[in-house]
Amino acid sequence: MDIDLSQARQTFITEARELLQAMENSLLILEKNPRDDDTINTLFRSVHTIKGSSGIVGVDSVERFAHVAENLLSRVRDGEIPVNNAIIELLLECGDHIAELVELAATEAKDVPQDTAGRDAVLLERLGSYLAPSAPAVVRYGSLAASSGDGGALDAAGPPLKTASTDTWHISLRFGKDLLKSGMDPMSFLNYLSRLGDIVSIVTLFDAMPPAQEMDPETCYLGVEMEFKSDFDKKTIEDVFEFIRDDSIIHILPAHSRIDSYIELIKALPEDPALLGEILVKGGALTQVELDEALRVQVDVRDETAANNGTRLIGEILVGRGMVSHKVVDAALEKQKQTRVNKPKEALTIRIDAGRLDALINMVGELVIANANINLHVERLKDAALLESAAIMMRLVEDVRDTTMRIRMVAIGETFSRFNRVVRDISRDFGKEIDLIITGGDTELDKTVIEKIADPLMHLIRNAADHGIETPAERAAVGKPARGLIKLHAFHDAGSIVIETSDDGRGLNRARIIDKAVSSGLISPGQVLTNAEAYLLIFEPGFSTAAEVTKLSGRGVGMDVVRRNIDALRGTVAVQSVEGRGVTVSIRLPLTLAIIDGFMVRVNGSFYVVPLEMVVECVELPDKERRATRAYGYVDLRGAALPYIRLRSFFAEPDEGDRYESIIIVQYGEHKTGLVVDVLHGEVQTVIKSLGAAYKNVRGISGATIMGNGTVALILDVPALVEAAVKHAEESG
Amino acid sequence: MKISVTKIDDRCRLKADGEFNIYSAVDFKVQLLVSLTQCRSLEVDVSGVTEIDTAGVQMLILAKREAAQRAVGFRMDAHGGAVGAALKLYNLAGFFEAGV
Repeated sequence: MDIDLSQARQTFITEARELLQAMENSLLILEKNPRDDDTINTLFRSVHTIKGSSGIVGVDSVERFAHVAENLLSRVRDGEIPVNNAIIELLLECGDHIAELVELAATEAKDVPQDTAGRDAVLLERLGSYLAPSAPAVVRYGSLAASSGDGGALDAAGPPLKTASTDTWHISLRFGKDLLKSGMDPMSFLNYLSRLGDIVSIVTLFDAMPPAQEMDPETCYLGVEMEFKSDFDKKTIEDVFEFIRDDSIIHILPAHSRIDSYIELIKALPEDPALLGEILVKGGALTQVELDEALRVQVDVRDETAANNGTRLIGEILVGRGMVSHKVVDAALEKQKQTRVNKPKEALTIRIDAGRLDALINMVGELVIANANINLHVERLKDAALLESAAIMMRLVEDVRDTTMRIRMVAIGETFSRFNRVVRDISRDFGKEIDLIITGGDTELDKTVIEKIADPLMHLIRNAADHGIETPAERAAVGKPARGLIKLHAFHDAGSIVIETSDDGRGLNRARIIDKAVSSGLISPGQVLTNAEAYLLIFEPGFSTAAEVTKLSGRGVGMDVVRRNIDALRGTVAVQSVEGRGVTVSIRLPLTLAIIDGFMVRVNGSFYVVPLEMVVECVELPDKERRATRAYGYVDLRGAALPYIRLRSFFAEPDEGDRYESIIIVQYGEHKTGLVVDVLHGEVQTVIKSLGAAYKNVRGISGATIMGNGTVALILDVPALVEAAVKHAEESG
Repeated sequence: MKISVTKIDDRCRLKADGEFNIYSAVDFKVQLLVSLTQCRSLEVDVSGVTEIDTAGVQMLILAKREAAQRAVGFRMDAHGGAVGAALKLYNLAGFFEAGV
């Protein structure tokens, strides 16, 4: 039992973090669009779910707090409390506080730190100030609009709900068509309601039922109009219908609701208004006088005995109406469903254990190797049928490999959305106006890569907001728009993923950077550096030219960590800047996959694998170059000079001079380089195995792999080789 | 649920025994429509129904309504038993008593 509970608790913590992020996203959206109903609903649901789950796993601190926040959001959702900056600010702080409580629960801390407890009390008080007893108002559901569109029907003169009254709630239900098929039954809701109060009167409607031929016995066509007397509060009554809220039409009008609200209700429901009006009067929700006055239209009197008589049984009303209007009712219901707030389609996902996924990927890796082994033998045997089967097998293994790899891929957008809050807070704290524009959010990369790149990116964005973007006044002074812009963009490029952060702020001051570097001894005074090299100096430890150190950045401890994290991911970073115009930082990361498609080559007796995505083409090495036996050189590739590296020399293999050699041309970023090898062997699928720390400093090698026949091949570190070639080219002029 | 149909002259009697729920609703509908085409009056006997759910209630509503539509006499004792309780909850007893 204990194990189950801790598993559930762990799930709660993971989900709570996601919900809190969703909550933050919603709040930031609402800040720009206070009337966005979809977002308000999403926001409410996030907090509601946190409250519920925390209760189930017994994290009382969260449940207690979330409950109060949920009450507030319930009022916001009903239109009683309008969305404004103060509320958003408060709720953002509440979200942060709940996050803190969740983290405390994760560490299973026994004691709540002093300042957390203090914050808890202060926030509860602020929340409480919004929750002071309010007058009953119209509850919004589905398409029933608030009566006056001013965000609520606050009726100051209405009596508070606490005093038990003989007046009743009016509950209007149109059950969802698939209710019965989902295993539920309206009767259980009615029974449950009767435990919470008295169903004073009820009318069951079945106008939606089509003629016998079309009538589906498993579809629910019923609706209900009832007067319900209860001392419970609105929320408790609403919660009765929690599980059918999304597919059924539900309207709940508290006692003493404004008459307009009933009229709105009549208009919102699919059935004939006259019928509905009659039901309301018969049930006791309205008096006939009230109804007539409110409608201010001639009630279409179908039967002479109707209003005057008053003895018509409701049963007879329904029989008379029965089938005629079902098509109209159907159409109206359909239309209502479409215009209703659309619940965001939740992607169908499954939570799985990361360890199991890794084990699976390892196994797939072994499968790839074993399959390669088999293929070697198959090719040797030259049996046609066997070759065909092996080909099919190969394709299947490739598919399994690709699909498995893709499981670990996650869209980077969610990570990006965290930065909205950072930018917003910095803007607010430092009196700046900054917009964050995110593009390429659906670019996918490996989950572990995303986790490791999030912090570096956060730091870069903070830098841009803090040091890059100027205050509105400063910007105006140089003719820039008052609002600064930070752009975050991700995309795939030739087997890598590129993430760019750019801003339109001050830009880097090259002179100051050089000065600082010289004074720190990083470079010698006369050293000549390109702009690119100069800007890269900012990643050196302890480097900061920030005029002032703010609490966020400028202490010089951030950028080198950023650089180190990127290195650890086998990525590279480049900085571009124009002084006065802004800075762009480009991070390039490999699409880390444990299995790669590669191109195998041989140099002397050793095998090397080049990542296929970086291979552009293969050409023959011209005679002239062959005889030169240089480590570096150039060939003429269709009119352009292509630098090359002779791997034999690079890896210090014995030189045998004048032999037939080929060049495999690779590309990394904007640079093309040729790698001169002895033999081109062709495409292979290989599993990357790390070489371990001992080989970390071997230049040009990024890993190893086991070939189908059991030999070890080394995987070439193309970025490093390209860099070496470029560097050599620059140095030799 | 067991559904038995007895026909005397042009009067039909549809008797349902057991659990009247979503699973038996389809069968009931078939028998209902057959009876309605063959008879001028229909009596639905639900005294033997031990349990009824909303699908079952809908079937009874359909029965009454279709009968009225085709000018077939309809009779059902809507009180007592499981059916009575369900109809009371929905306040549909009046519907089944009105007209004949």
